[in-house]
Amino acid sequence: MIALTPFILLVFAAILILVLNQIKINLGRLWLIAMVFSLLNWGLVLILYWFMPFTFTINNWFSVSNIFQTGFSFTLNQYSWIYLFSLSAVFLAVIMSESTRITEDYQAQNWVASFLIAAIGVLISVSDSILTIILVWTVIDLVEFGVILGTVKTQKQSLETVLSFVVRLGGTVLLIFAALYSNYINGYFDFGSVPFNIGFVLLISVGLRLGVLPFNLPYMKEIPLRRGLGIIIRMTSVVSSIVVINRFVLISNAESNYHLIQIFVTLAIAAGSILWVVSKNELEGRPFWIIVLSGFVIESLINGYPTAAIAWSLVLLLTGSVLFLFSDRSKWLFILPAISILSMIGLPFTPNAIGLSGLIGDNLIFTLTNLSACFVLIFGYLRFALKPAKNLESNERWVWLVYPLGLVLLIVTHFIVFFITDLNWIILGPLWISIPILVLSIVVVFFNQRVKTENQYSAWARVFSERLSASVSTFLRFDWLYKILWGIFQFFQSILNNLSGILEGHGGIIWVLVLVALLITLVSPKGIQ
Amino acid sequence: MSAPIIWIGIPFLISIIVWFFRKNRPLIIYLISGFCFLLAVTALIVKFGEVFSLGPLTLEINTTFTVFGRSFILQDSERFIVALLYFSAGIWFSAARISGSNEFFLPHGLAVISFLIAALTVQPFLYAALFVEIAVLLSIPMLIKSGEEITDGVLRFLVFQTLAVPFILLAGWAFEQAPFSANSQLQFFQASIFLGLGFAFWLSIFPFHAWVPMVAEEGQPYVFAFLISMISTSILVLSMDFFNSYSWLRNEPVLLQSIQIIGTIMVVFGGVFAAFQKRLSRLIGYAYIYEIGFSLISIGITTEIGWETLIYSFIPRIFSLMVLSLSVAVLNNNFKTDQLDEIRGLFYKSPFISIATILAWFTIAGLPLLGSFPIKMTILSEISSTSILYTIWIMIGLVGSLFMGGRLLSVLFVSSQKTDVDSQLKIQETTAQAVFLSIESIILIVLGLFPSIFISIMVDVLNAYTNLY
Repeated sequence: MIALTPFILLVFAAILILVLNQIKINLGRLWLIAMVFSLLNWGLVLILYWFMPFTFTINNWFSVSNIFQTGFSFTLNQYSWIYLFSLSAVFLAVIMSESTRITEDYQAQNWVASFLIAAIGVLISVSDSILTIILVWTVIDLVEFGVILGTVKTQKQSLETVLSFVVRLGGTVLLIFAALYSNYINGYFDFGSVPFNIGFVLLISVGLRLGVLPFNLPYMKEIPLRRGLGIIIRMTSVVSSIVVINRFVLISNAESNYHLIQIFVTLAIAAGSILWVVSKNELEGRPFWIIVLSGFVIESLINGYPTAAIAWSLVLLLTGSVLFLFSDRSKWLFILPAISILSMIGLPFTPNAIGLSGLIGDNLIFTLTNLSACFVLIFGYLRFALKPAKNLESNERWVWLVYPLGLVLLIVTHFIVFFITDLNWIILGPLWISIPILVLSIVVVFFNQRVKTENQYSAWARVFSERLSASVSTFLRFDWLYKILWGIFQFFQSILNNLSGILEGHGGIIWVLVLVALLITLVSPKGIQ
Repeated sequence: MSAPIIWIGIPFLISIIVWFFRKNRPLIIYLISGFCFLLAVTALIVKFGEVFSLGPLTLEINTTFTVFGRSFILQDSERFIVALLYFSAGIWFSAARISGSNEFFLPHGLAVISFLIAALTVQPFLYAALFVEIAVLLSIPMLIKSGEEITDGVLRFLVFQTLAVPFILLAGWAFEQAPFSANSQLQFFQASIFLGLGFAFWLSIFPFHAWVPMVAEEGQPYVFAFLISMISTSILVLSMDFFNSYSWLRNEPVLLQSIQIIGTIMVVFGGVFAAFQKRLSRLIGYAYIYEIGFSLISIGITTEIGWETLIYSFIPRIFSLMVLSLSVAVLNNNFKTDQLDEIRGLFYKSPFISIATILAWFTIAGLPLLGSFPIKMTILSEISSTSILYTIWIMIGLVGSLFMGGRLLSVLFVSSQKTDVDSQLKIQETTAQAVFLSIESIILIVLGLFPSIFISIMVDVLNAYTNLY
């Protein structure tokens, strides 16, 4: 049960905030309570590290089938802790950054929703059985569907929300199929023994949910919930998928025959990185950040570097959150995303030194694409971090301290995970990649700043990037493919409707007799003799 | 006092009495649904065939009632099925007024249940066919809209259900004769063909299913769902009785294989055809076909797990069909349409109907977190341990039904207007509609989150069928 104490704490906090909001407690005090609880949660998860592992199981949920014999299982071990701690840091940072948005409408309700989603995030991180994962995936999908549908305004956005839910559901169905396939081959499903063909289905299942396999963008524009609740939903949803693939490959080590998957992943990485860099701002580009880094996670696993996959997951969550929460800026505050990005560049003995190794595989094209995408991603990150935005100093003075502290916490968390976990990832890393990337990044940022001052060039660059972004994303949204699929659907619909018409028409009974005869030939082992 | 008198005779008598007062609907609804709940609770509490004390009184409810040499035997383990039928009928009847059902629904519905229970208990079992036929005949007035003529679908329903009777009678006769026959193997085989055809007509198994979507769309979806739920539950229990009684049936691989193939065809057929439907009412029909397919696969598995899933599937099936049919009926009453193209953005006008429809359909489809997920996963798990081919086909059916769920989401939650004018909630359901749809939707959610509830209720049913595994 100790594995679920953060879950209990967060649910309690959500209920408390809800009640206090009902009795009209001042929003500032509510925020303070929310911050105290999220800090408690972060601290609790940190302390739990030294008392791990913990396992909590509920066996008799539906004790009929073999597939449910393990029931619900929640395990807090070194691997699940990394995600749990990272998510709790993201959550804490979000609540701290809310100090700049306290006066916005419906903030208390947003905080309640954030606490509940963070609680689901706890379940996701520690889920340790196929049944738990299937159910928790569905929970997060339904919550995301409900929350986003409640905020979107137009028909198109509603349709995108439904489409996103259906795509994720497709991923869940594939996971179920992977479990059944494993049951057929092994007689059980186990994270520890995933043969290639099951791993293949599993990777597609997770890739589909992450938008990588095949590259899919249900949302043309980012969801209306941008910072705050939006970040928590997005990151929790991403972790729900990443935690699964990391877990199974960590133990089984994927073989190197996933080339077909690698082709699609590399394509997604290439397209995603271009779309990221040409996005208007970091929030518009967030889906591409997620897609590219999820792609890196999958690539690292396929290349046989499960620890690198974890490193990229942390970049996705923590480094990403630093930028996505970087709403209020000042000259000196740029130092925070700059430090954060250093952990992505992969300098020696930094958290992502091992991550770069994961991008290097046998195939030169894949490797070059990955490394180029990595560079493009870093460039985009710096570009967005350097963009002017709301001034931090326009807030009250106490916010000047609290808000940056949230971002600092994300960076500190990244390094805490890196130094206290025992994954052998404090390494020199591939210097021939990290040093050039660092140098190139500095050069490009310098030139970017110079270009900014040249109005003619910057206007041209902006128009070019907007057009490129529009045309690439139009193509990659697969609208053309959906139209073809819709045509096929209507074709089948007309066939099946005609078939129904025949069976339900006046000649239907005669057709029934014909079908009976056909059926007998089908089920009879020797046919009709 | 004997159990058959209490749970068959008295309800039938009451149905006759209330028939004369059928025009006074509110009174009849309270009376009959209350009576059904009372029968259900009593069946759950009182043990059949045992002496129990009621204050100063000691009572014994006998299991057997004999009339003209024929016996009605209601075993203690069968009381859970009896309770399930009466409890679900109680809920069904209590929402009768908002469903737009006609005046015959309540008295005839009660009589139908009493005859179906009679069919489950009568010995010799050949009479079961006749009782089911009486139930079918009694159900016809319920299916016809007031002032309208009998429809093609209802006629076909009557024809197909009636065709089952001679086959079941012939099967019974052949099974009795087979042990004394010189070629008993052949006679058993013929008997099983008769039996198979009889059950195929009763359960509207492919290709005898065409009437199902026809009746579903002909105007009385709520009554139709009640009928198919009650009849199919009774017939499936009856089929267990056959399998329990005749070891030949349990051990004939060709028969079991055929049942699995036909079950798989029905799952694929139900799921895929559902995915392409344009009317919500027809979905009830395809949901039924899909569900019966899973039941047949459970029977075909023939292990303890197979029979358990068959029994446990009754509760989520009945409740999901109940919710789906109620939401379709209310939709028809409020908007005079159930065409998917005409109800775009319904959520913003009728959130209770929309959420109930979505929940019910996804329960039927087998979405995780909802009632039938553990059952369908168990069936898939059992099948996948022996055949990946069947697993893939069943998954195709499952994907078809989930795809329909996606279509429903896009129809109900996406407004027909491009701007956000329509995206504000304006609740148009009446309070009664909202209350019933909410309660039934909550039941579906609870069944999904705590499936052990229905396991604990139904776990003793299998005690009556000790030969099955």
